Amino acid sequence: MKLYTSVKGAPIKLLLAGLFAGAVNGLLGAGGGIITVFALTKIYKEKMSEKNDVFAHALCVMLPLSLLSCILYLSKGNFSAEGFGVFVLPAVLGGAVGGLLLDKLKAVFLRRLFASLVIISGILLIVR
Amino acid sequence: MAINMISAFLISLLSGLGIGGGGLFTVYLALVSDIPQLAAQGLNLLFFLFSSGASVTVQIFRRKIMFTAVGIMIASGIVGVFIGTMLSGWINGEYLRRIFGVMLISGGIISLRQSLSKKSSTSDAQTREKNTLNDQKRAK
Repeated sequence: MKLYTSVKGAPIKLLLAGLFAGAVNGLLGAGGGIITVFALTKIYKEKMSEKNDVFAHALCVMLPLSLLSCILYLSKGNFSAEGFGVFVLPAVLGGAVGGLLLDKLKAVFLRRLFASLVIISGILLIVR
Repeated sequence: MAINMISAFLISLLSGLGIGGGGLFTVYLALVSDIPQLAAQGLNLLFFLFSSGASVTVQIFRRKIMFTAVGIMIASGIVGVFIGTMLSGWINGEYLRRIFGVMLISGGIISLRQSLSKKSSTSDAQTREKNTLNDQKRAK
């Protein structure tokens, strides 16, 4: 709470960042997390310590937003979950292992890995 | 099937770390199958729910989460999701894929620049701290 109030104009910035992240997530089915990480880093700069870092916050924001996006996509008939069962177990296991590893890895390493993967993915999508 | 499961585990691991693995599943589906872009996006959202759900449970118990800040972003994000989903029905899948690609590259470059500048600012801060300590020792 102390950290939250320590930044001037934080509520408005968070409000706008959330709106944009939600819109991108709804439009593209992903990408809201990138915006959330970017926005929180900009808003809180070095004030956000390793203990309450941006990646954990981004996950907490994106989970309910992705749930809503998923429900809306399903209700519009954009996709069917048929054949998805094979991905459930690895998704849960990978997520839990990732969550536990988050404490063990350096934030700078995570940021670089994140950035590199995102750039490679973007290039693959465009040139496919 | 084994390749699918291993790939899903690795992508989910990255997603659990909070570093954008969710988007990678869209890319994976788009590369290994002929699934339409909107369907890949929908499956990616479903995938993210399982992978990040497991990770968020771990984070809530282990970290100091600023729930007020998170709450504000979720509240405005809900409005954003409705706007974005509505727009997704109007825009062609091919354009969506390219928009997504450009967005990922831009986000990646920004993030990489931030991480590089953060390291240099951290080392600057450490140097300043060392200098201050040395000054204090000399003063004594």
